[in-house]
Amino acid sequence: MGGLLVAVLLPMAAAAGLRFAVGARSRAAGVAASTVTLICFGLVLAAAAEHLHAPSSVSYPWIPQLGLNLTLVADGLSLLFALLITGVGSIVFTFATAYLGPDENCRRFFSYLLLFMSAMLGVVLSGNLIVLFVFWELTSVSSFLLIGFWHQREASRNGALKALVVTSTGGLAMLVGFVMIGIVCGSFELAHVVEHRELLYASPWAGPAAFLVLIGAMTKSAQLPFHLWLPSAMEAPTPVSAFLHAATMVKAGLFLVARMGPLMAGVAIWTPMAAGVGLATMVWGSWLALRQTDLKGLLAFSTVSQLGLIMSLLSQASPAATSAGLLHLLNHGLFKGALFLLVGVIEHEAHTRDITRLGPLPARMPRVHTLLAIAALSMAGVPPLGGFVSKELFLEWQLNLGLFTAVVAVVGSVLTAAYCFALAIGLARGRGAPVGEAAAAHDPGMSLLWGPAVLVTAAVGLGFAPQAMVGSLVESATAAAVLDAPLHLHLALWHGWSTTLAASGVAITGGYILYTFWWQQSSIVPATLITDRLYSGFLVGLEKGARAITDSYMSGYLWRYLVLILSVGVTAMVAAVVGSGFDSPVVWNARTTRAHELLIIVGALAAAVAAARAPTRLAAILALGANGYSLALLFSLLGAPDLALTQVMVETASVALFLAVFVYLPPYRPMRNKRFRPGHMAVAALFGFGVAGLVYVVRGMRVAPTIAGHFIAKSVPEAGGHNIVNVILVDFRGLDTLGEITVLSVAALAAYSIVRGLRERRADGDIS
Amino acid sequence: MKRDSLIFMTVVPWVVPVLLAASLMLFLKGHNAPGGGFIAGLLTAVALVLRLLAYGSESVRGKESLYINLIIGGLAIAATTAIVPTLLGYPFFTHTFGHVHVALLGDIELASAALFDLGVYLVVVGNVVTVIVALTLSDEPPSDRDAQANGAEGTGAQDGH
Repeated sequence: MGGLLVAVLLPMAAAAGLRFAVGARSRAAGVAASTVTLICFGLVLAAAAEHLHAPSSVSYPWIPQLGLNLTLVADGLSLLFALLITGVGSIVFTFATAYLGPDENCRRFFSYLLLFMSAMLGVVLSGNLIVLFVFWELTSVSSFLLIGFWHQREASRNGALKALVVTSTGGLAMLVGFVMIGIVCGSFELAHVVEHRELLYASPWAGPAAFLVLIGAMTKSAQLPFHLWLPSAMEAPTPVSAFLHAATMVKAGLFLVARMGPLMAGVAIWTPMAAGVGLATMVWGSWLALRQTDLKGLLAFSTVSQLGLIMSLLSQASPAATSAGLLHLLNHGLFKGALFLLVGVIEHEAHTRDITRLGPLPARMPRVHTLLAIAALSMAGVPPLGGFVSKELFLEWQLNLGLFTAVVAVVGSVLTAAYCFALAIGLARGRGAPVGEAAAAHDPGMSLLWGPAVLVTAAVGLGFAPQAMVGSLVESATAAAVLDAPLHLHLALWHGWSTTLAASGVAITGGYILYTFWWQQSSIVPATLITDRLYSGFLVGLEKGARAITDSYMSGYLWRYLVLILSVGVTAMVAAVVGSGFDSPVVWNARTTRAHELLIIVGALAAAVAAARAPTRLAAILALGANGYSLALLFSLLGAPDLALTQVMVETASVALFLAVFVYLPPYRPMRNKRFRPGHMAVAALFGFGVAGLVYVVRGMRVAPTIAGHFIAKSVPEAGGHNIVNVILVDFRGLDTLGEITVLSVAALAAYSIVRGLRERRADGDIS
Repeated sequence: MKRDSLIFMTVVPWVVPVLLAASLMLFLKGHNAPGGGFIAGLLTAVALVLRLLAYGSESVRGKESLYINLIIGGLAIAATTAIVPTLLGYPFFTHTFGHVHVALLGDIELASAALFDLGVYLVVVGNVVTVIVALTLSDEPPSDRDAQANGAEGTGAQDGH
């Protein structure tokens, strides 16, 4: 089990370590990252050998007070996903090392990729819901960074943002669902939750929790109506698309459905909702895929569709359906990973991935095209490839379920087969002659080909010997995903003559006919997504709304800001004073004001009036200072030396500040030259009286005995200080002070940045 | 921005050390008498601003990053004193103090809260000086015509378009 912990943490440590180990553009980053991935693959393999038929878990306390433990689970389900992640990861990492251009920032790329792999392993191995959520969000963040890797492109930035917005919204919904489950069942440990699932079923929270968790799974796995982010995510470098957006991350949603199956299968809405969404996504996604001319776009929608297919199987919580879904998931990881890498190769060599510009491929890129065709035919479910085996199981399940699902499944399969034929046969015939650089394209060297070749070989092998290759893995994973289900799985290429075989035949034949019809269409208009338009409209509306609100009060006139701020203050104070009802007995100190105190007060008032009436700015500044120093004097006379000292310092600093910026201020306009503004006067007067009223009311509002005695008593024995004010600031209320100095620093840095930014813009001539 | 006031420039070198010494005193006795990191920080900042006023913005040009590092360093010290106890198994923000006896100086109290206060001190100095330096480092005072346009609405300071 320790090996699995290392597998989760090692890539994360390596992601940070790359920063110090290699140069930014060094290819060594790729070699190091590939090595780390291979080590992780080895660790997972070792764990699989030990725990595949003997599931176990281990728990490391993280924040035990909150019930947060880093619990790692080694069972069939987690090991299947971990093997897929590290296995495909090893190939993609080495592929990417050869794929990235010499000018790319390899170090940053592989750091992100390693971070992602760490997070993804954390998701599938975690046995604690909150920890799972943390890793889940970490995959969203690293996906954001990877989609936006070419951040100088606007489309990359938009795609990255869209993926983050959609998946993290779903992640938050999922968190709320997790919290419901955790509170009802009394723990966030998955094993505990599953054991006490009856508590959830008996509570009213079961439905909402299932719904919210499913929203998380649907956003991550790009199910309708959240499928919009996946096509935009194709702006990422192609190895990323192959790894995150085909083989692993988008399967996190499927993993969640399988992982939560034992718990959620007993909740009424779980299976119908997930299966319905899955089937709808499968049909709609394949229809959208058919209408693409961009190869990556086609693969993106095809991934959406295939994820829907698997979702419809995994949500059934039945051994037969779940094992079929897991087998197809493995198949999909292999053939889709290979397809993405091959499209990456095509783009690398031909500098386009537009079907209409590529021309017939086999003449120039025979190897690439052969591999691509095999992978595409596996996806279409053509025997004897791996996809055929799992597609058969899918059709068999949907046929047995009822007429409606059978028709939907067959329609989806026909559409799927059609776009797969477009890839396999269509690219061989070409849509017109190659354009531009595509004409000179040729097969690349083995460094770019062996990765896809390994994946395609595995996909073919899954057709001939599925039982030998993954039989026990799928069986063990199914046992983990379905409760108490005896399962004797036998995967085979040949299932005998049956209606399922007939349905497969219909799907392949129908797909071929649809493809030939479709391929003859002179032009294909790529679909735009309704949800995409809604998303853009929402973003634009949000920005417009925010700007409208901001513009409504950010007029640029200081006096308007002051009126606004003071008015809000006046309203709050009036509400507080009036709300108190003036009925509390006010306790005043029984002492009369002494003559010199009165004198100081009169002096402060006179200084305030002088500041308002001053003929020059300098006089106004000095009068303000006099006002502040008078108050400081008053404080010191009334027994608040710390306050007085602070007041003196603040006054001095503000006078110094005024003097420092004196020459930059606009010409001073004395108050007496301005027209009389009764509104301003009213606001000022109300504010003054409001503060006075507030002080009056607060004095009478004591609801508990004063805490001063406590501080006086504890100051020396507990904090070793005689200055209670300072002891409160640095010790008793230290957290408040830490918060205050943090806010202060942020404000100062913001002021500094604004001023410097203005200066630079002025220097650039942007501002006159 | 250079103000050639002979009296000011002559006095400042004498006043600034006194102010700094006073601020050091306020800081050190803050735990038991009026004073403390906040007030001492303000006093130090005032001393530095006096220097700035006497010798002009040339004396601080290029040192902005130093003042920003003061803020960051102060925050780091304050946060560290709060976090270190948790690593030792105490609650967040646990402070401790002790007495040592040093020859000549007598009984000296060492409190971990003083370290936190040092963080506050550095943050306050950094804040005040950063803002004032930023405001005074403009290359040229705006010409009268610009100022006229900016000041068209009385006290209004426009955000510059």
